[in-house]
Amino acid sequence: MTAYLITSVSVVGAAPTDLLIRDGVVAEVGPGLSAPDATVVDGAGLVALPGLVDLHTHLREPGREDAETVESGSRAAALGGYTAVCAMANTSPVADTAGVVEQVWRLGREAGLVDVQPIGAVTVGLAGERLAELGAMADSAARVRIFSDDGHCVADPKLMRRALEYVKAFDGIIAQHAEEPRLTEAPRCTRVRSPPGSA
Amino acid sequence: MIKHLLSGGDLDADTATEILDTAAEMATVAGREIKKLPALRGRTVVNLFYEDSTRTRISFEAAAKRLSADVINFSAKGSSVTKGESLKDTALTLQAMGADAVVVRHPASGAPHRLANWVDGSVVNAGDGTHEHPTQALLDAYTMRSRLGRLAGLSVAVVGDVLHSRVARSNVLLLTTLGAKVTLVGPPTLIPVDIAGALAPGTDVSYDLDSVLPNVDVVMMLRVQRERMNDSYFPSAREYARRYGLDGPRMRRLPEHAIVMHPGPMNRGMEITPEVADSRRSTIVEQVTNGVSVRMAVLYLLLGGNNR
Amino acid sequence: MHEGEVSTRLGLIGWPAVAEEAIIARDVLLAEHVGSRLHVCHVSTAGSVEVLRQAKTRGVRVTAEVTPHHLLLTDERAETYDPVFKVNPPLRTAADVAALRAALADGVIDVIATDHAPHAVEDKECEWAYARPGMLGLETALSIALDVLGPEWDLIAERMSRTPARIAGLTGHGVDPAPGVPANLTVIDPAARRTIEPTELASRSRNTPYARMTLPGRIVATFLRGEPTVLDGKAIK
Repeated sequence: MTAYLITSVSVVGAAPTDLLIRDGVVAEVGPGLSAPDATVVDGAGLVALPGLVDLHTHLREPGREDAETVESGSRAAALGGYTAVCAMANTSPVADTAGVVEQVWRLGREAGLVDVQPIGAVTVGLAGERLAELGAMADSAARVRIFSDDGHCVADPKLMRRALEYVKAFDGIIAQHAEEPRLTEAPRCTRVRSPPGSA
Repeated sequence: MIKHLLSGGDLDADTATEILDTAAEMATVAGREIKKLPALRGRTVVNLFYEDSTRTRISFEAAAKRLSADVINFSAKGSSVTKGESLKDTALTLQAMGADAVVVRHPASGAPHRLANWVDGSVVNAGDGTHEHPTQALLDAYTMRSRLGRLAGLSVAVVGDVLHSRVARSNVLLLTTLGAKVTLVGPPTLIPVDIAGALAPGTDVSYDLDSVLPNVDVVMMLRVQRERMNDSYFPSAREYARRYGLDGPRMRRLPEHAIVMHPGPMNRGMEITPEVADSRRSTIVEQVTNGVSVRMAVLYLLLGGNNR
Repeated sequence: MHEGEVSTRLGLIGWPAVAEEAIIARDVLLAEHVGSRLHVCHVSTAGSVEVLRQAKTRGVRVTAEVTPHHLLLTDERAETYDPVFKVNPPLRTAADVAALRAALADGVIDVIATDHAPHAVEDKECEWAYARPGMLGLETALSIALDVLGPEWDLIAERMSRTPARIAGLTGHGVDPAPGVPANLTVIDPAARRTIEPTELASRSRNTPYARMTLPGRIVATFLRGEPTVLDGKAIK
């Protein structure tokens, strides 16, 4: 594994210093570091931040690989400074089972550009009618902790209450797309062809 | 002259007046035995209609033919459009055919604006979604000027489903530009938010038709779809007619000289009673006649007929 | 689009602020009642900020995110009817943008999240009403944050790395570079400026709302567990 020495870089806005990266970790931080085997990155004038983490990314795979794939989205994320992204569940098929979230998680590992953490759907098919198998997704290899029907609101108050309660068992969190659908729907007599899916 | 006519707001007072004056000249053609001018000979006008609107399409067709243009009617029904062709691909097809002007009617607001990016010719908005219908506003202004002799200083009430009305939006913009004062009247559910700020400062809103009528020169009744009551915009057609419909007794509250307009097609018994629609105040038939003259003027001026 | 002056002028169907605020108000009460964690996606209105502020004051376990585009763009962008500006929730008013920026600075909003939403060309190059909502965000988020917040590096690290990692439970991420921590970090040139060209983005889609805008900041390098994924501004693979 190659070592990297970033010289004279400002860590989160502090005074410039050197950063040695070796064996997957930050090995040393301090001025005047030397590491003959390391590839040097001139950090003068640059700022180092902990890798960015996106809680809300649509990677479109599976289903709309013409728009994005886990790999192309991971590359875009890395170029944006991200080291981890949370992949929303409104794929086709919907990420509402352990099988789909594990598929996305595995594709992320294969791409190897950022950590892809799948988000699971709250309700089956994002339909807002009954809970998806939240526990199975939490227990899967993807270890899902965030659940969201993003693109759709969990509008039914009882269902939302149950979802909030249920995920406490595995320290889950419900990420709500807050949109009362009855207040945003098109009037019935002017409704135009509505595109499937959203966000 | 402007290149496209997409919105009543595209016209300044001089340009709008030029169109109305040109329309008056065009109207004299309609009185001749041969109702035809050679102004647009060799030019191609496409009527691209994604909604059924026979009266608007025929009006534009008559206007273009009286100017000797070649007219192609491209109706969404039974065409490539129903096979899923995109607006952009249709635009490129029209472009390849050499359309000098595209008259477009579309259920989606802003579709003519999109089209204008994709064709070289002029685009005329013949009604887009719940947005605008600028030639309707021009023919309405023409009709008011013909009947009342002026536009500046007129007080105009526009009554009904303003929220979904492209006629209302274009009229507010154009009439305000030409110096008239507009009051929008209807149930609060059908008056869009922030309308005065959105369209024209000085536009008034009233929920009480009876209080407005004695002080107006023009009352323009908008078509109201009965199905709106299914979305709770109002409780019933009967209640709507009782509060916002124009009937004989209400009409008699108008000043003696005031006129009654309607863009058609009418819902007789809903927003207007037959007694009113067929009265001497009504300009409804004149509006149709004037529509052809105004659309002749628009096509003539947009296509540079005055420069040839 | 946002229900207001611009939607009225454009004749587009309005998506009122209250539709968002009513759900957030309900959900913070539900979360409080059952003692659960709630995260609110893409907060877009000044009213939502106030609901969240009150809930946080009461101790409700709620976190919230805002997108880069809601921090920069307003509903007036819809005036061309170009669906590249169609997004859900919609772009709002300048007053909403100001409230969101203030809430991001004072912590009522915890996180900047991109809502990166790639769409194929045919789903955007069409009529507004028929277009799918959503915008690209991953490759421009840091630049927008820098533009909006200025070089407030600790705040940027907090809102774009530490807090989102904590909310998602991603150990090893969101930790400042220090001896012994996993080398998940990014290196930024804050002085660089770049003009966004949609065709040059790594995403398969082109629906960036920032096309031909010049934005501050450029990612020079990114490391994932010590391996560079980006070096010299270019993806490694």
